[in-house]
Amino acid sequence: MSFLLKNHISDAIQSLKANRSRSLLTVIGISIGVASIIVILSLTGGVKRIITNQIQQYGEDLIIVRPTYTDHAKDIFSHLTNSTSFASSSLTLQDITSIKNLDDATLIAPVAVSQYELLGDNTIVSSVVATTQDFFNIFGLTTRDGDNLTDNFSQNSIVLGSRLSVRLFDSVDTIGKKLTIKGESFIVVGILSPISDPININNINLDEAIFMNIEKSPIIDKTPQIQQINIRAKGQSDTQTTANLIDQTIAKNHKNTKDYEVLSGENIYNPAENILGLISTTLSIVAGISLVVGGIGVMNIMLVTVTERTREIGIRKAVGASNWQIMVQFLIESLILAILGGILGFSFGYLGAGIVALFTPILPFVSLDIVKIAFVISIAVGVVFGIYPAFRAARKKPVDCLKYYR
Amino acid sequence: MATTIIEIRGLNKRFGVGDAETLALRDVNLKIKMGEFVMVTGPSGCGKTTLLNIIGLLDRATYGEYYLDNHPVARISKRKQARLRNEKIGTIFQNFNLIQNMTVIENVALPLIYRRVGKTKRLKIASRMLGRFQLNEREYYLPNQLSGGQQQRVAIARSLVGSPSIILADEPTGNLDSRASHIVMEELREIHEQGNTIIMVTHNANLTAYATRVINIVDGRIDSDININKHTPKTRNRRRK
Ligand SMILES: Nc1ncnc2c1ncn2[C@@H]1O[C@H](COP(=O)(O)OP(=O)(O)OP(=O)(O)O)[C@@H](O)[C@H]1O
Ligand SMILES: [Mg+2]
Repeated sequence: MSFLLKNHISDAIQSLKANRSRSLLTVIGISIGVASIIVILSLTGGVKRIITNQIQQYGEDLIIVRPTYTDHAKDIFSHLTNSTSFASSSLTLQDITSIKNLDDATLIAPVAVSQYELLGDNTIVSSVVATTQDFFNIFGLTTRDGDNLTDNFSQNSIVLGSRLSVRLFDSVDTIGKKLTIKGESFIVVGILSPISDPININNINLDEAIFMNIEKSPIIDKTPQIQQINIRAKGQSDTQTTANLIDQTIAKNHKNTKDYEVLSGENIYNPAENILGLISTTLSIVAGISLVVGGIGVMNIMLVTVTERTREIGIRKAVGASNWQIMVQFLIESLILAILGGILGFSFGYLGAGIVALFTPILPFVSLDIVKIAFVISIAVGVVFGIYPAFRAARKKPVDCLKYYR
Repeated sequence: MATTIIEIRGLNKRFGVGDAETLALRDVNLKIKMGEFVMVTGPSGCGKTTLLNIIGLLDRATYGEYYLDNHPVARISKRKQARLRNEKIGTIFQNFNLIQNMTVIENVALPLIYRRVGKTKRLKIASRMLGRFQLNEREYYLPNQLSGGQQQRVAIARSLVGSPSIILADEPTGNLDSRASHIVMEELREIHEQGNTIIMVTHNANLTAYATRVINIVDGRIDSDININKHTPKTRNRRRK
């Protein structure tokens, strides 16, 4: 087999060279499909890496409680729109108190986000995050000077995200400044150091947010819409056990209605991965279509080649080529086209992902698996779209081929 | 007694169905022995090419028996047919049928590829074969850089390269002028004298002078089958005139 393979390959290269521009165009056709798949895979790989980094950054003892919405699509939509305010949350301050009473959960930070008009030096509408002191400790947020935000986070004191500070007061140093929200006066007690973390588990742009005390702030509702409870487990038992304990505690409060979920470890990032999966699936379908179009190009060219070379097929058969050998010869030709397309597409795709990286925080991530996928896809295209022309070539009767005049 | 290479019994070939039906061969019986130089003649459309294609395993009879080297081959698989074409049959065509984008030497070596002969060895054998036809200087030419006569000699070299049991030639001089025809016929005579068995189809009555046996076909049937004394072709020719 390997002996004939070598011959088939050199024959194929010779014949592809004889029709240089035609072969090149076909190769480009395939490369577009492969390139789009490489872009998608390397970008989703990049996003996955960001998520993994966050797991490492936040530690593995983080537990998150979120209300669940019966409609799954709505859940994804709420993630996309970065807001859950239109849906009524099932989590209450009572739940927070219950969790606090557990020994294993040391830091607890509920999060309720709403939009308010902020009257400082400038007037700006932005996200007001109602939470607790623990929020800063859980996520290791520090002030500009690197101090921990410990005290003073009560009734009328607020903490500003770094960019919001500049937008409100045209200054980065705004400690002690006053601003008015909903007729109540607040005083700035802390400014966060800049965080560029566009994809985070709170779905809040921390640089643009303002933080106040969820229990004490005069403008926060007594039954706030809690979108998420962040908990850091610091007890003796492992994170999973603590998570189970929290689950049971809330279940008691909710009379066993499962209208919330307790997430820990990798599970925390599942919703984000779901959206990612949804987006990349959609893009993959588009890429798949362009692959099919490229494949049809291969099939088209191979059908032309087979017709053009009818006489050659007849001659080869007359001197002893079997149907199988003719089939393999033409199949290898389409495989070479497809593999060249794969190589070119891989380069294009890598380049494309690099260009995307220039405009987004996502670094393309090319693993060996992606290289393998590109290779397998190219081969599959070559075989799937080459088999029919090759079969046509093999099936021709020698007498008919030899009679053929062009 | 020379061994029988080809034996055909009750061979029929039908093309088409219904109104378009043609019986190209009717009840053909034929035995060809080793060392014969058989010429097949007959009016156009009588079935000469059809017969040669069936003998060459390029086509199948509608029914009838065919033994090649004493093996029944009428109903063997396509795969086996291909194998026998490669090993036992050398074919020469009227229009040479060389592959245009392959060099002369690659064309000659082509049958050996399907016998899995390695490249170096293949080209060596092909080169030796081309030497026999004084074509060594043209080894790396493309077919269309050669004259018709030269191309046909390349085709003859290709038909011989695998040392087949039988050589089939369908009007090998049909596309050549008289000078080139003469050269090609002399080559065929020489390879016949070296012991090869040849079946050749021709329109040209003069060429039957080279044959040891002349079979005339009319309307798909063997009309006459004459053995000629190999050593006195000229006598035979004169008597005809
Ligand atoms: N593929 C085919 N389909 C239908 N009829 C065919 C086919 N091939 C040959 N025939 C018919 O079979 C008959 C014999 O054809 P064949 O080619 O054997 O003649 P021939 O003796 O070689 O003629 P020529 O001397 O002109 O080459 C003819 O009547 C022809 O029309
Ligand atoms: Mg004919």
